[in-house]
Amino acid sequence: MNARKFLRISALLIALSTLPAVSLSGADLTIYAYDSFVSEWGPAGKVIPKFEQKYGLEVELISAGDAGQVLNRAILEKKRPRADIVMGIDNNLLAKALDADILEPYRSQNLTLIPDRLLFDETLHVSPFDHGYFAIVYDSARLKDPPKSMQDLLKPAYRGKIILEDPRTSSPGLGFLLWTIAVYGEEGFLSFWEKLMPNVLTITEGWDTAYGLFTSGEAPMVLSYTTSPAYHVEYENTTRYRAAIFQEGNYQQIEGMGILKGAKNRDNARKFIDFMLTEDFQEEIPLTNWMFPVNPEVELPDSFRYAPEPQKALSFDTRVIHKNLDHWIDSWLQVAVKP
Amino acid sequence: MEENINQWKRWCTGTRDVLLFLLPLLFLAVFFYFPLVSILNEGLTDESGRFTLRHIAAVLTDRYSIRVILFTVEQAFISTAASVLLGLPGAYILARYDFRGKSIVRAATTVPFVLPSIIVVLGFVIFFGNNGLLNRALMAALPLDEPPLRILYSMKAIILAHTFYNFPICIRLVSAVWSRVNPNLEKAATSLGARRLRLFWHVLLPQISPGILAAAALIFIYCFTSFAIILVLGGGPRYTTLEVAIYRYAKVSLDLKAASALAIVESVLSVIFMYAYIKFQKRVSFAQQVHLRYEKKPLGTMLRSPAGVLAVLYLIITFLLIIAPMVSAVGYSFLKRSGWAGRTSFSFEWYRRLITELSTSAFAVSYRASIRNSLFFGALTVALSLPLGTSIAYLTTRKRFPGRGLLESFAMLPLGISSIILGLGYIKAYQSLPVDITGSWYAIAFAHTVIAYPFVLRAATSVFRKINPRLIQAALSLGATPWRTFFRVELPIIKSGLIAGATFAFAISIGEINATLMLYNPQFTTIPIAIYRLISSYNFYAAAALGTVLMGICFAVFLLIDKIGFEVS
Repeated sequence: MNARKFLRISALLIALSTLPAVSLSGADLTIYAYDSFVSEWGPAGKVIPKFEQKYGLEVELISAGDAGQVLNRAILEKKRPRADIVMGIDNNLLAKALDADILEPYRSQNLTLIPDRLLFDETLHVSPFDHGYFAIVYDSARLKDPPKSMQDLLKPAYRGKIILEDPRTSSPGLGFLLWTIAVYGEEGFLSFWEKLMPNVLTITEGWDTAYGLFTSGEAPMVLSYTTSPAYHVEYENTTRYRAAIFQEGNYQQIEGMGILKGAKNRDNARKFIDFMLTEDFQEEIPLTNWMFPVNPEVELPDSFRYAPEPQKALSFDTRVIHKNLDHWIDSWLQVAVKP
Repeated sequence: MEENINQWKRWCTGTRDVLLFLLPLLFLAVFFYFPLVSILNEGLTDESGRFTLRHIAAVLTDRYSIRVILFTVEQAFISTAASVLLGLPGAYILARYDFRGKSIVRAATTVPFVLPSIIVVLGFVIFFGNNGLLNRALMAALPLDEPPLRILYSMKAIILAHTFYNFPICIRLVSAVWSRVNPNLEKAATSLGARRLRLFWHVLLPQISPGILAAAALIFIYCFTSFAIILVLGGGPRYTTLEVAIYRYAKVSLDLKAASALAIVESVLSVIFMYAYIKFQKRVSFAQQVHLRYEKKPLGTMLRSPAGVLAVLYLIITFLLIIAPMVSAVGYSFLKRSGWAGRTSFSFEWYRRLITELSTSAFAVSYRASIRNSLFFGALTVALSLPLGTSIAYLTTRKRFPGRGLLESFAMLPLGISSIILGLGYIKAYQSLPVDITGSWYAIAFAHTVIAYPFVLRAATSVFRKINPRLIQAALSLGATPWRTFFRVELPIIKSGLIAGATFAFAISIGEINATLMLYNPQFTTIPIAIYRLISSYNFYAAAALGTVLMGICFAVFLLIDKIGFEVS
């Protein structure tokens, strides 16, 4: 190898390395969304093109993990927000987002289309886009005696048969932890968990891992949503998978999105929130995000008849959650790691 | 005039050396030492910036952290013991016997050095999972309704994966020592009446024990800082190690104080283990002085005894253990499942997408973009680590200057710091700068360079040592300029070493997941990250297709290294 050849190879390497370079798009609107929203079967592929066509704008969608991670990213970038909208702030995460002071309020005129009971943020920093209920979903082919209450989950027959999600990394996981606190109170939930742990096969990072384990037959019960059975009816034409309605009630989740403070494209972000509340966006929610639309005008698909109605909707005041959450999770962790 | 030119020449050489010295130092200072100091600073100061051990104390008294530390050590210990026990018979067979296909077996022991951990995870889930190939085969063969081997999502899975990943290291290192054992000692002992166990215990073991200890220490370090395997196979807070805990604190709960405190604890521990490894390694190189060799027996002679049948069985089983998960991953890449619980069918779908995928990179994981990004980071890592490693190697082998030994250890320290901690350092160090570098392509490229360049340095150092200094003096005295001498005389000699180092750097960059996971933003998804995301969303088929691509790249790298004959460990 002579000097010239060496230089040529170095030049080539350097040229090669600049190839894919950074194509920072000049998008008209940047949205942080959670993974399943932008996944292949998620709502993004349907609703984003609709919005882009309607307003002639280009949207950049960035998926940054689970809803909790998306919010964390937005908080981390508080000084220099990259996105205009952050999506997936639910009733459990709301207080954290408000305390971090990363959002600016927006009263969309379309909020009048939404029933008051779903407007979970009175300060209007976050506008709701869908809602649902957590439930233990079970495989009726393998579980003849499904649970009818939270207390039932402690049955010795269920040993190693339940898959849960981690409350530190997953919103259903957090929802389930709060659910147990809503049922047993601050005094009782830890002893419930202590008795529950032998029945738990594993605690996964996110919902999709848990649900994948469940559908490939690793365990007959998983923490998911009341709407999960509808999915299997719609796409697999089977009623094998069912959601358990608990006597104590099922915990409610309302998901929302908000505009970031210092957003570069605030007007476009507002347009998106307006659009999100209309039927154009809302009608896609049931079959892509597998949640209930917040706009009651949307007609539900037939398969949603298999999403059972809870006897009672449970939830916490967002302030109470925020005040106690760290403490609750810490004490939960002590129980969860006990061998 | 003449004098001016000479002066100019001298000045040039001087400047060159100073630049050779300063540039790498500057790079390491900015992209390794500054991030490291930031972690120390974060973990050892309070809000007003005064020194405190409060955070460290908090970590060392918190029940969850203690559990994490103990679990990390426990799983590393068991994994190491299992890997060594599984590897020793192999080391013995490779050291004492000749047989057909031995070179393939020996080459297969290089696999863990180039195989990315995420591939191990992938192959493992596909092969050993409750719904994996092994269980399905057993269920079909024995007629059973439930999978008989419940391995995944438990301590067993971690131990088994670590053993599978690391026992070839034991085979490789120990067989090298074993084949150098002085045969005369054994003959002498036998003639003095020593038999089997006694012979092994008093004669053989003292000679091979440095090799075993060095292998064990290296495997222990690997298992202690293992990340992807724990993250995916561990399942749940119960099976969390320090690396995973640091990752969660930094990326999920955004608690950089706790992350830094844990990182300091982990680094102190791993530096201790590293020190032990270097000590053992020194004893191994001391033992290498003996030149007598055993005559290798053909394996056929052993086949006549039951022990020989066991040996052959061992060889076949371990070879399958290495190969089967990878082969099943390739097989899976041609399958497809519709929806969550739909039917599985044969399909080229994933490969079709690799080629004709629409440019919707904003949506989900873009397979093609991940391959492009990985190649991009690999090329950049080579382009950066080659000059970095070569110039440091040049200085430490050629120049005499005060503090040379210090420079050497200064340059090798990146090997002792886990890449999760490096990623944490970047997040912390550059958090307050006006330009946000975390999530940028250059942060990832620099991190990969810091992780990969010690291998270039090591390869370059060993080839630089081989050059006869008289050759250079001859070239210089014949009137060649130093640059010309370098390109015409030295470079052709050191070329193979540099290629081996560069190939290694490329392999490391392309398989890297830890620091990348800490730093990436979705735009710069690499192949390992895409595989991780696909595994988490339970799309094993697409993950297997990307995994096959990654294995293909690694296989090419492996062939190249094997051809050059670069000693990896």
